[in-house]
Amino acid sequence: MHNCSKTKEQIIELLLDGNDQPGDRLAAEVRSCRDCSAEFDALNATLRITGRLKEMAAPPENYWTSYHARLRGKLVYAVEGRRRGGHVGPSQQSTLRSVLESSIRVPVPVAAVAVIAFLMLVPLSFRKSERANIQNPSVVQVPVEVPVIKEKIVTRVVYKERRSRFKNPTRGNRNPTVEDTFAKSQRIESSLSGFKPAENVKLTVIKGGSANEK
Amino acid sequence: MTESDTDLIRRAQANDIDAFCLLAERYARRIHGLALHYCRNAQDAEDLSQEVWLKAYQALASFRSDSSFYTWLRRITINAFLNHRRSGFFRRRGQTTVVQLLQIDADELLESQSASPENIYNKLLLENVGKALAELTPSQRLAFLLRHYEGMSYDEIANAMNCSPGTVKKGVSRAIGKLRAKLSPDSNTAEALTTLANEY
Repeated sequence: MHNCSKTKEQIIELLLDGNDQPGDRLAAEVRSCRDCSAEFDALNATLRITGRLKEMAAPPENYWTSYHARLRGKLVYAVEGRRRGGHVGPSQQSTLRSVLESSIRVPVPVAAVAVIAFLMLVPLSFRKSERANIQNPSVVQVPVEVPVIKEKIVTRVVYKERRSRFKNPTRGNRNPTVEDTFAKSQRIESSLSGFKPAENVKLTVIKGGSANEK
Repeated sequence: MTESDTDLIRRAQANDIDAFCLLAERYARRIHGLALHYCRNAQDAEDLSQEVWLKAYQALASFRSDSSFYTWLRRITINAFLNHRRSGFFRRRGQTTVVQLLQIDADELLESQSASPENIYNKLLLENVGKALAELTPSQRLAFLLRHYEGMSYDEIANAMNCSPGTVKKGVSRAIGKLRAKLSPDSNTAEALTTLANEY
């Protein structure tokens, strides 16, 4: 079944491809429909006119001489500017530029998530670095002269009086024996020899610490 | 004996400006023509096309001969168009029609020997085409120029303009529809043009 809009599309494609003679099938469609036939003629004329504009709008020949002179001037200026800027050549700059100016398209939600994650990670990374600084103090090696003390071994012979077991038979025994008590009383008797007791005995009573005591 | 593009490119890659200027002389008209129809102003077209050449010279090291030199150059041109459209370069400078680039001066035209009714009709008709092109959106105009003047496929245009082939096809179809409405024999403008041409 004939469809005018579809035929119009086919006509446009045919004319844009540079053919002004439709194929058998399309020609039959165009011939069978008066509107399509008129459309074909109109579109053909339109594209022919616009095609002529391309030729007619071309600048005259003398324009190109000055055009190329201006272009050469701009190129020389650009190259000189680059040399003055310390660049080796345009090739290297263009590569660097392409790297710096390159961009990638990222969906807005993905970009937003990435930015938020970055903002959250920045303080954490700072804290970690601070901790690392505290835990691992920087080690600075400074040469310091230290007097070396030479060790000297001195040997001395010490003579110690040897105690006989007989003199101290109760060594290590805490309970005094009968012999010990007797020997002690004999030492006291010998120390009280020549002692005279006094006639009057003066007694001093020392009161207690209590306040009611008399 | 003329040097091949490959030889000139190799020399230009070694910073030989003369070789690059020879390349420019070979392709400048096509690039300039594309710029002229896209921005519809002679001065803008020259600035834009020369900017394309400067960019091409800077990026020449990245040319790998995977495609033809002109295809690579055209890609730079399209990117320059799209960048300038985003920056509003053309709007700031003001939009003018193809009248400027055709440099039509009515008095001069009438006084010249080529002031035949046919020539006058053609000139005025082309002026009308320029006005019709100016009424297209920049995307429609670029898609139409690349398809009609450059013979690029929809896939190639879509790849260059970073959109789908369907969008490009729709844009071209709408552009042709608008041009057809503006330039059809039954439109008032065309009738006026015919009348005007007959008067001379």
